[in-house]
Amino acid sequence: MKIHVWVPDYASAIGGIQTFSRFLVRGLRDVFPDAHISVFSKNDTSYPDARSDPADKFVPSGWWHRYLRTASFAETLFRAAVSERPDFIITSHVNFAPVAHWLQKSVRVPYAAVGHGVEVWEVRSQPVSMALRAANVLLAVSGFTRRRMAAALGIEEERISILPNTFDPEQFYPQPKPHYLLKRYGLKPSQPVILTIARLASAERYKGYDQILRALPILRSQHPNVRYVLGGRGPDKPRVERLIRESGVSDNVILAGYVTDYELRSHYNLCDVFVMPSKGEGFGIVFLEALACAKPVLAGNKDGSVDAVLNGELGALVDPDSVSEIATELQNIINRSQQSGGSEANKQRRARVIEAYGYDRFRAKLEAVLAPLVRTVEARS
Amino acid sequence: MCGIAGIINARLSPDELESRLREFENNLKHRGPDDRGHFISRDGIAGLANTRLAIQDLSAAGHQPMQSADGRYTLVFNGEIYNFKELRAELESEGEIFSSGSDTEVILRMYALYGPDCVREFAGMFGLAIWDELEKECFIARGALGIKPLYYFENDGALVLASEVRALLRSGLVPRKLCPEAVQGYLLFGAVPEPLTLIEGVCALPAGHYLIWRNGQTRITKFWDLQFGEENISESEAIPEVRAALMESMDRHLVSDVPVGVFLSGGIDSTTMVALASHSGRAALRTFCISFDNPQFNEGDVAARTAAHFKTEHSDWRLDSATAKSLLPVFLQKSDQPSIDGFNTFCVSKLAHDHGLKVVLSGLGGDELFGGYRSFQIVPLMVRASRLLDPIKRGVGELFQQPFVSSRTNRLGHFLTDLPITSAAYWAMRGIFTPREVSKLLPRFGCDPMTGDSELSLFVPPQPTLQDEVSYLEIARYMRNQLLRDSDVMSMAWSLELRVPFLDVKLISMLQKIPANLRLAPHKRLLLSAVPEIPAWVRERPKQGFAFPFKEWLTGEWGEVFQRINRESPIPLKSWYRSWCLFALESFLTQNKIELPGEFAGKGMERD
Repeated sequence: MKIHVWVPDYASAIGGIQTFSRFLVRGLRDVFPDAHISVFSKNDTSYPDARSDPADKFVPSGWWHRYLRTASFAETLFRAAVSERPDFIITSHVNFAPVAHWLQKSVRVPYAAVGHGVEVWEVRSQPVSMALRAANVLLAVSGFTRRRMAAALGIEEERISILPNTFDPEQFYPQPKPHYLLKRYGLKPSQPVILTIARLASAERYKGYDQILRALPILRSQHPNVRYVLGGRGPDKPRVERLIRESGVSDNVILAGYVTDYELRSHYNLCDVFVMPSKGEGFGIVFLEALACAKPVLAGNKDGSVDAVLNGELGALVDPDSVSEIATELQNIINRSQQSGGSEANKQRRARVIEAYGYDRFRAKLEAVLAPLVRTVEARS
Repeated sequence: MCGIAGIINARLSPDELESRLREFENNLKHRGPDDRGHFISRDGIAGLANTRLAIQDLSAAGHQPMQSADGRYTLVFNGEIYNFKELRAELESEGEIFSSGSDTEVILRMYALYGPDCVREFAGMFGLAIWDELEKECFIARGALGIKPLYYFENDGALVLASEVRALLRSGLVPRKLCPEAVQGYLLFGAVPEPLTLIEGVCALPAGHYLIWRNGQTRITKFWDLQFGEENISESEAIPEVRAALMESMDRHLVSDVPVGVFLSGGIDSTTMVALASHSGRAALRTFCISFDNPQFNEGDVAARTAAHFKTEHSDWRLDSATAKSLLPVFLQKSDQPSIDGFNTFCVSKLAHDHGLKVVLSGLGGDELFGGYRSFQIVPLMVRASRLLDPIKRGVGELFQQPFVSSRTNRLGHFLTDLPITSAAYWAMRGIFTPREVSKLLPRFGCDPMTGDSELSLFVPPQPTLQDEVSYLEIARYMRNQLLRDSDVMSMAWSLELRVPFLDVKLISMLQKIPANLRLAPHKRLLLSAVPEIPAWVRERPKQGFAFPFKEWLTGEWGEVFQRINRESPIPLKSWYRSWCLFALESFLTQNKIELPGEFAGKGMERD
């Protein structure tokens, strides 16, 4: 069997779609051990580590000038599929779906497309919308995204299967607060720490870090030594710095800068609560990772985060627009963790998130959602 | 500074385990002639061995393997933790009490308190192994920049580790089988790319990683990598910061209970070392230089002038052809894995050793960090040109790969048929053989021809600019797989500790924030501005690599060896470094009696 996987980024970026894409390929490798899997990446400029990557072939197209990249990538995808005739195609971003649609029409290759978040909540492009409606299999990473996607495409929700995000419990596990980070940020182990990790860009402001900065003065009245560690870099930083000054919370905020992949687990373990009261998240893998580190999480109740925290079972849900609600809920969480250490609840959190979203679950789901495609392939041969 | 080794869960009888550990001590003796020791866990599952070159705390209190007071943790350690006094003071302020003055004890205490993540606090170079008697767990780690080596072999739940590949081979626990992928990487680049080694199943623990063995399972974790940033820093802000960070690194690297020397050539990097070491107020600095009669290679005069300027006690060894030839067999015998380099470090280390030194500083890393190579200008240019020429370049690429043009043109030809990305252009600059040539050479070593470009398909973590990508590759590939590996083996061959103040985690953490247009400005402008003491005659010299007149030496009996290599080669070798590349590999295979994978297996090297 031959499978082509189309991704926007793969080895070279950290983010929801990238993480999903890597697990997708790993899952395909496990579900179809004998398949030849080719991965086509639009934005990578180098190869993933051949020894650890499960794909058989990797084609990066990120070296094209950005004005030409979309067209060149589409041409690469089209040409490869026509010459290699894969049994099916999975596109991990809906924007590439029109190319799959042409291929379906011209050389009868079936395809699956995955919707993550805002990009499918409203679909303005006519070709994308048509291509999604014609897809052999449609996937969404959360129930929330599925609802919005079905509405945007004007199709039945049942047409779309849910394949939620996953995480690696071997990579994210509970640890004592890492000494090297306590030292780096000048923190005491007993000091309550709130953590958000997000790119600081205007397009990411929906993640709600502004709201935490606004909630800090309230929170500080009860926990004067509370610290908010905001990890991430980006063009929004000067504005964030200004907001910190204006809110008078300079002493309570630590701008940690870019958090590298190899320090991510340590950062989760540094905090007492992971917060992201977002309004535009398709799912929020970061919640899973924080939960796997046995940390309480706080999420917004107006987007895909609701799925990630299992409707509030795994984490607190708040109205992302209400600063006072965020502050109150944070206070409660910090109080609980300071009083009891909350260790039993924390352990359960980890066990539950592995059960619900661990890789084994992902793999089984992947196999199930791709069954219609496999049937198409088998029917043809 | 030492050699370390370990055997975990190899199901050996206690006597056998003990004798294998002693064997390791014998095979690593050159790395640490001052002391040796081994440890066997109570249940006989784990054994660790060490040979020690005493540099910090010369007393017996620094003996290794070192055990924690409660007997739970046992440590063997190779390297230096330059900030150990600082870490120790912090621990003391929290009530910890120390019994020795060595950095080893600080590591042990840090691990007991903070677990594996303690390595993230170490500024230094190291390869280490810790046995935890309570958890029955073995922790091994290699420093952020990979200055010190650490190799391991896993088989059926067992873990065997050592500072050198040869020591692993001689332990009798590792099959002497050649790894085809590693040969491919070696022929493409001139050094085996980590984590591969030439021996099937033996891995280099990658720089900035640790590994935990538990119940026969292992798990590897990355704890450090290069990540260049693009903070808004002006040149006038950057210069004093770089200066301060360089000076701090130098001060840390001068921590020693024995005298410290400097390898001095005519170049900017080694002169920087002398300038900074002098500025730190160290008395009686000693410098060492290799010079030649051939003016094309000789840097002795410039070095001598620099030495006089900084008032060091200078030693110069004028190396003639006869001496060089007589040293070659010793060099080969002392080599670990082959590379196309290393003889220079071998000679200058011998010089320092003969003068009774145990510790020397080297300017290694300056070119990689401050843009000293032509690759910093040429690779981005090649990538951009290749992107523009995309439609027509393939034909030209094919033409350039014909055997009648130079090997450099061949590599450029391959690049033109490849994707226009940094790693491909970088290989064309730094590589040795093209994939086509490698395919023809592999059967000579019993390996199948190449399928695909796997060892050429390098991962480069995203960096802000193409120049940063080049810097990443120079540091993570050429420097790590070749320069540092040779430096370690060749200095240790003479029981000499080589320190590299440019490769300091704290210094690099500061440097990597500076945008590429300043940090990698041509002619190392940033470094020169930060170290105004560098005299004009060094500043104004055109760049010269630390090269040897190999061509002149490879006459007589050596000439015959090389003529045979050239004759037997299925492809034209064209330049001496390509002949050397094959020669060094053959020499490694013969010396270590390595079994070839394919049809030639067992027939040794005498074959067509």
